[in-house]
Amino acid sequence: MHHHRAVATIVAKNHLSFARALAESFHSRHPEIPFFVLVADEIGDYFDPSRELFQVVEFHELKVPRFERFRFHYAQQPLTYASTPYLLAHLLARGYTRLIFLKQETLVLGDLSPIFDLLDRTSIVLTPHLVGPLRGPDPIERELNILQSGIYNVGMLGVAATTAGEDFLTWWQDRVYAHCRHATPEGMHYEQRWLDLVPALFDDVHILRDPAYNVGHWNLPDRAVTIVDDAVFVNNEPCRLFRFSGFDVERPSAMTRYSSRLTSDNIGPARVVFERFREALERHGYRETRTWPYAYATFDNGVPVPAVARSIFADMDEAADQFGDPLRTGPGSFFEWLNQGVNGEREKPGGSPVVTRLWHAVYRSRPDLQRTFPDPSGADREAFLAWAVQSGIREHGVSERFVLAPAASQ
Amino acid sequence: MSVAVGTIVAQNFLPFARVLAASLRQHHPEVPFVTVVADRPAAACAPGGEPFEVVFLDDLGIPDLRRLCFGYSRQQVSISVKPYLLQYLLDRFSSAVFLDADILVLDSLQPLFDAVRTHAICLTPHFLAPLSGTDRRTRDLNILQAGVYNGGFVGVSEHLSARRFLTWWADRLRTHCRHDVAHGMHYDQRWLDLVPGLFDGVQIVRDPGCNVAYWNLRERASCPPRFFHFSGFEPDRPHRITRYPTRLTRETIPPEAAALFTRYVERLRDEGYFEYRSQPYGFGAFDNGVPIPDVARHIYLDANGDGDRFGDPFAAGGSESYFQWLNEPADGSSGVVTRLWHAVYHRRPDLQLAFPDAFGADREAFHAWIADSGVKEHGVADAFAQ
Repeated sequence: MHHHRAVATIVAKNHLSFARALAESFHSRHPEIPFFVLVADEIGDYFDPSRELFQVVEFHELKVPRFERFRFHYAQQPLTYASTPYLLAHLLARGYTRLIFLKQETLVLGDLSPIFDLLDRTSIVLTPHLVGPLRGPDPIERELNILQSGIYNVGMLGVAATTAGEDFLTWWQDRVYAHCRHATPEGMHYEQRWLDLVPALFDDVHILRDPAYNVGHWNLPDRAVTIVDDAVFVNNEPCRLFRFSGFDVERPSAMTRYSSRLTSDNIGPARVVFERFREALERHGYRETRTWPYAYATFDNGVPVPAVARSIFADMDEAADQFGDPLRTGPGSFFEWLNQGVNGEREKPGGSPVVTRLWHAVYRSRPDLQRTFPDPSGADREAFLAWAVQSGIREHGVSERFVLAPAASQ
Repeated sequence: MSVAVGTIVAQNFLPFARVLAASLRQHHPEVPFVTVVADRPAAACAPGGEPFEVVFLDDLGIPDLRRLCFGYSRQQVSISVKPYLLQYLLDRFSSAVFLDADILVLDSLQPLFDAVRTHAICLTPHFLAPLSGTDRRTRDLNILQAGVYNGGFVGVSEHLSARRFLTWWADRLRTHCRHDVAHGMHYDQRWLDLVPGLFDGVQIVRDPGCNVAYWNLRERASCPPRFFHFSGFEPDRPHRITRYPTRLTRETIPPEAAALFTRYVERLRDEGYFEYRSQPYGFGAFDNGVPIPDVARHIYLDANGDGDRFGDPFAAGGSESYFQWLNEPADGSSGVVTRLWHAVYHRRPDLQLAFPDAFGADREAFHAWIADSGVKEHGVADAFAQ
């Protein structure tokens, strides 16, 4: 039986250079295997998909229930994370039977055939962050970081078109549809911590404990990276996949924003690999693409969607369906609802402003505000609204349109 | 090739070990059973008087044992010595199985023993398949907070990898056998989530007969258990199947399971549960009889070995004792609170909000809180009252 292999990643269009760099590195090893990129955004006229090294997938092709809700639920990055199982299910439905998902901040440095070969015998391939007890600095703290963020790195994942593979994607979709959140005390770390359950829940899960994959900031102190004639080796074996999670082109010497342990001074030869990644991003249009706007960042009147609006919406669950597309503004919209007082009123009798639902939600989330303004609907209303104008809008990244004459902003 | 089974109890839970041992003996009369009494040796537990081998903490080769017994609560001590028990068994047998004391063996464990024999490390997950029902995500998240694999069962056999696992696990539990979900800890259990990534030869045993308990009872109702785990069950409150949150009650679980709880209470009673339950814990008090408050244990544990300068932390007498040190005025408190209450204050953001100037203007209010509520909330004896 002939198997159809494919590889995929996900980016918003301001991260297109990451997809290009990754696709290029993959195709230099596997020119014959198609590479798919879900653009978790709207392409508009910003680039021409037919001129890319990869095949573009768009949201409307995926089977995401009530997509307008889903895309509002999450900010840009978490939306790319939550889309992972939907993209993989889409590719299985298109007839691809052996899939590798790679996260955007990655370079393929070697042959990935061993993963595809494993998928002939197993249904799901997971790669752990750590493949042996840590011996480097702060081992307990570093292991606890992994326990908080997830045992298996979602930077590389293999799925086969088997019953277990499909069941896994169905289950993962159900969990990340509304629970792709960063809430460590509740057991969530975006899409990744859910994977901890996978070896228990599904048949034919292979845990690939090979240090050649998923080399990244969390395991670099314990893996020896060497460069010989341009080729990258890990623990004296050829490196196959290198991860640049948290790498910022603007601050290349920081290596990752997730840890201050690693710097260009103490990282050793691996610095060359980070430099190669930076160079690839620059060559693939990082400077230009990073300025492209994210399509789901604003309401249809151009007002940026604040994080608090997304979390109010998420907490409403099914009740949010009444608004239709939450990016819409105007009568009966979520935007209008946010700008009303808790009883639906637009202003106080006499025309003075109310504390709107949006600011009530901010208030409820902050014990410090509750102490400072014990009676936000009565005696402290004006003081609280003054705080909202002077500080609240900055602290919460909320547009002025949510405090100044909200009734007029529709 | 031989396998042995072990469990760990403080003295007051000895009847649980007796019931477990008897249930194992019924199905595997040839399998040796060892109980670690994680307590000070006392008359209530005569090693020769039990139908199994009794081992005390001193026999396990635990480094810094005194630090462990003082730094951890009774429950934490029992949990954190698990790797040492497995090492002790592996020194004597080719495979070893740990079972929590609140487990009852109901059928042959042979398939499980075979898995343990042929793999370095065996673990049993809480769930074996995707859940359905409206509370499916909540139940998944409970398990993600507590750990994917249940710590009530761990099997190891004589492989280098098993030894490496036990060395690593013992080391982590020496200081980090804590309940701190936000930081990735749930006693010993969450550490097990790392094990399939870290070690060779790990087998995830997905046998629906193993570790049947309140968390998976709905999914396992149709299969007869090999062993049932009465996790969180308190025989004094027999109508509640666990003290942990669950929707299940004695009335909503299948009748066979409900009958099992009835039988379990009877067996515990026959083995002396009601006589033993009030047995004092040997590491529960200073040598002057004053109960050790949890916060005193936390301060000692967090000092990470610095407490060694006090010598025996249980010894209350003398001006250099840990007990005295706790009762002395804290630095930076203008001499108005003791180190013990100073530590409580620093560990509780709510107190810091309520008494922003606890050592100055709010001093009297903070003292009143200590007297009215603090001593009760923290289980602190009069000897520590401000």
